[in-house]
Amino acid sequence: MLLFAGVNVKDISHIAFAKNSCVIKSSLTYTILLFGCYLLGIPETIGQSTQQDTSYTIPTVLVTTSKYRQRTTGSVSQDWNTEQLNKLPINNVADLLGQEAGLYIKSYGQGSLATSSVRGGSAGHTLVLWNGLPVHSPMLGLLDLSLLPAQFSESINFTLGGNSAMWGSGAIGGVLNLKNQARFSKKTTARSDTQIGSFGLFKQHISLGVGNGKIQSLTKIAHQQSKNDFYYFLADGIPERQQTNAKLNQQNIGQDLYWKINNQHQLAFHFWWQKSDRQIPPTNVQNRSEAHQDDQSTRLALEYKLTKKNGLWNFKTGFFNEQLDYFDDLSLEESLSNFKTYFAEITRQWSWRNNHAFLIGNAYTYTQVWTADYTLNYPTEFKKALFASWKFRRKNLQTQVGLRQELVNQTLMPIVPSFGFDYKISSSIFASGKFSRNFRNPTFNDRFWIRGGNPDLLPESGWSQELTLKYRIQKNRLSFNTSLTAFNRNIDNWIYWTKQEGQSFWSAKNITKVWSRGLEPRIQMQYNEKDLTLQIRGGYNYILSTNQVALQNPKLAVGDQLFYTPIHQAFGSISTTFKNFSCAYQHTFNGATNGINDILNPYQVGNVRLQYLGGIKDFSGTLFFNINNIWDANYLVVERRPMPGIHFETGLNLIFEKNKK
Amino acid sequence: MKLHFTLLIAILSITMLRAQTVVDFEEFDIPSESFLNGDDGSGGFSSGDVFLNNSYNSEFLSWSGWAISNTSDVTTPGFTNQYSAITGSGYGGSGNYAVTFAFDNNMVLQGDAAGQPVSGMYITNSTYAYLSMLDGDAFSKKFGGVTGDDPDFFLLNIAAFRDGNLTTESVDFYLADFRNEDNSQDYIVNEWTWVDLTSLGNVDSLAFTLTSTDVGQFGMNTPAYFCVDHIFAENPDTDVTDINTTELFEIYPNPTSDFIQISNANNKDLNCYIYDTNGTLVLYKRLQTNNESINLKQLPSGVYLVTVENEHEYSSKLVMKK
Repeated sequence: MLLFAGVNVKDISHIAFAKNSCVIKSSLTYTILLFGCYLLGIPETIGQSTQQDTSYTIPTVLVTTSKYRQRTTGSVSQDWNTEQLNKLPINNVADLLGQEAGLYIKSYGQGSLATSSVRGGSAGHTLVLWNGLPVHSPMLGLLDLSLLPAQFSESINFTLGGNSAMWGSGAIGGVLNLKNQARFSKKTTARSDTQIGSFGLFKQHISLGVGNGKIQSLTKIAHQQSKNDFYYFLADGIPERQQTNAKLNQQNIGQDLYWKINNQHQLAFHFWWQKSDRQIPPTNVQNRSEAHQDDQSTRLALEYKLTKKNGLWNFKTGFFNEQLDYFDDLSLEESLSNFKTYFAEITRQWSWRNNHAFLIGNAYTYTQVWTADYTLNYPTEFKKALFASWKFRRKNLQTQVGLRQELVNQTLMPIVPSFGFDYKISSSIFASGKFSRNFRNPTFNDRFWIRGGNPDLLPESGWSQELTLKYRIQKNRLSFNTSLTAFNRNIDNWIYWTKQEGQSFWSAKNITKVWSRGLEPRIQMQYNEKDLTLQIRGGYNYILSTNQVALQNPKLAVGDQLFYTPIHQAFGSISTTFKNFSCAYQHTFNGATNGINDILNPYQVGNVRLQYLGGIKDFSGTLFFNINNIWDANYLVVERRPMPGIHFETGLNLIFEKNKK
Repeated sequence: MKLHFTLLIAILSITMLRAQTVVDFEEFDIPSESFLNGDDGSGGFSSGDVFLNNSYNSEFLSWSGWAISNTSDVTTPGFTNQYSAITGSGYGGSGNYAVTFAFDNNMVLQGDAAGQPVSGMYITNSTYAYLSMLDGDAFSKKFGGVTGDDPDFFLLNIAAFRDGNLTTESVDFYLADFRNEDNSQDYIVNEWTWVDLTSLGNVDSLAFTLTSTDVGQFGMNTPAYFCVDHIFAENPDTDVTDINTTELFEIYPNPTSDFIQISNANNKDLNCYIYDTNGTLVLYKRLQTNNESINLKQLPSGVYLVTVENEHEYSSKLVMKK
């Protein structure tokens, strides 16, 4: 993620602006690092998020995604590296975002589909990137977050708020970036994670990394399976019912290759194959289900980085091939689909006089989709994008201006500008803000589905504003961070599938406007004492996301809160580490939400993790025990879709790491 | 089985001699296990003195309004089986019947029947709607909900148009009714059931409206289908006679997972035959008391036709084995 072995995150920012006092003097390296520091360090300097303010040591890595685009000025973002991910009681990215980032995760049940709603947006308003390439399904416009194993990435970043100026369609509510990164400081790494748990959970993740200071290879294989046959509460006086047809089987294979040809030329190659076979369980008002869904994806990315005197050239290409097969053995309904996406992107970054940084990029995406359920046999989309950014820093102020224009099949998308700032008011008080236009293109399903697809749909687009105030103080062993973010967003041409008067089927229409606004206070305290670390974190989201046009279908009045967007959400955690032992408790609260048929009750869920970390020489290990839903809460996230009560997981992670001499 | 159907058809033929206009859709020449859904762009079906509208969208391969069908699948749930009646045949074992898909739909009277009273028609659930209410599906609830106590219903309202205006006269027919506090009284219609419409008086056309308690913000979740057969559009010069089937027995519980009780009020010696959906006799029992139990445990899940007969008459009912 960041560039130096053994350098504290906060220190990097000081290096970045210390000009000639930077400790690394090799002219070329210095240029590269200065630029990198400039691009990367500023947010930490003026406090982008409480998470970033945490001090920890990061090994040498090869950056494979431009931070310049990822963490834009004025936004709030969070990062997790491998070490942090390993300490969390999570199974997938949905768990991570729900429990650690405080997002609302719309989960259809244990092992089932999970999507996010960020700042009152829809699932398609969270853009998911893999090494900087959009990985969501162009047919659905979203990605099932429950199918993303958190430990399969070396680093995960989530940035709140709109960022279409840098990433284009879909970056309205937030951007999630899963990254694979090389560690050139390592000679050999071997790792085995084994986990078992309730409801037949078994997970095995094995990785092997070999290389030297020039070449690195990391191979990863993961398998997980679970029956998810939990018992759930129906009603007083009614026997509990056991969930059926809920098995999940998933395999992942990954291969990353990195070649640092010399200080100027670097190559990175990523391969990720994933297969998920998943049964779709019945609802709690359905006697049985025999539906299942098999997903298979192959993702390839190749990146070439050329370092020049004042900046970088970055060439990236990628190919994704994914297929989905839904079949219901009862109704004999089947839906087969496949899409292929080709990416090519070039970006140029350079700096000028140490307080200006520029980026210009050109991206091409070609997508071809097939399903028997479309009006066209092989609809395609050819997308060309031109984007640029200018970052400027002067004393305590940093600003960034971004601009993007996309052309989709000869149709111009809205021009999306952005402006952000970070301002250091005093040594402990910071302000940041962002003003941007963002959009989401209609999905292939929206445009071409055989019953109701509408090729004339307009993109959803609108303006958003956010302002964050932060207060940070550190005294002796105690650090305290708090922040308050206020945001406002208006989206026009919001797409719903609706049944018009006299029409017997639903069709996609741009039928409404949505106004989202809210407050996001956060707090974090940490105390360090020799062998003891104590950390408390908490956050609350107050989000109003209201419909602004009276609708008959769906039945929404002006001012009605959107479906599955709770107004109140809170999360908190307390964790402590003493010598080799650590324990953590997480608690989340989700307020009542409007479902499609009923109002869903508020619910609270608590999770506990107990962990022991040990190591001898090059070997280290972690033994952990998770208690999920420790209060055995009976709750639904999605109506009619039951969630499990208290359940357990335990596992052993073994790591061998031989550092380069 | 064939004997029973033959008898039914014979009874029907005798009745038709007396009824001038019985709309039974048998004049449509449809291949076996097939349907007409308007994909020829005809815009509807004219049968006797009624016209059934149809709207077909060739771009989306979608239809609404009425279709004519003879599909007999009573076991496959879901959209793929949208043309079948839960009875497995038309009224009285006949071949063709009409199925409608629409939240609101019309039936226009024409010819001599226009503006005249309608005696009634036989109505039943489609297999799609019946199994959805019985078992639930990914979008719809099983009626009764998680406890079985939800007062669900699936209601068909039939209203009269007269002189081109919708009148206030209408008839309600519950295709499923779970409102009774005694859950054993809950039912989902799975037989052709006579609906008397004489109370509507003179009508130009009939308006059919479906409502369900399983409704969300995007509309009704219960599949908006039902089936119709033997419409008696009364001609001014004719009288129309209702066809009544003999009710020799009652079955409960239905659906069942193991035993069924067969009760018959007259306590006569009866023969009970149970057929599967292929018409194969799978079980026979002589009923010697007025309340006998039959064990269906050994039979696979599915729908079975239970026929009870004495020397002179017989009647049949469908039973669902879970």
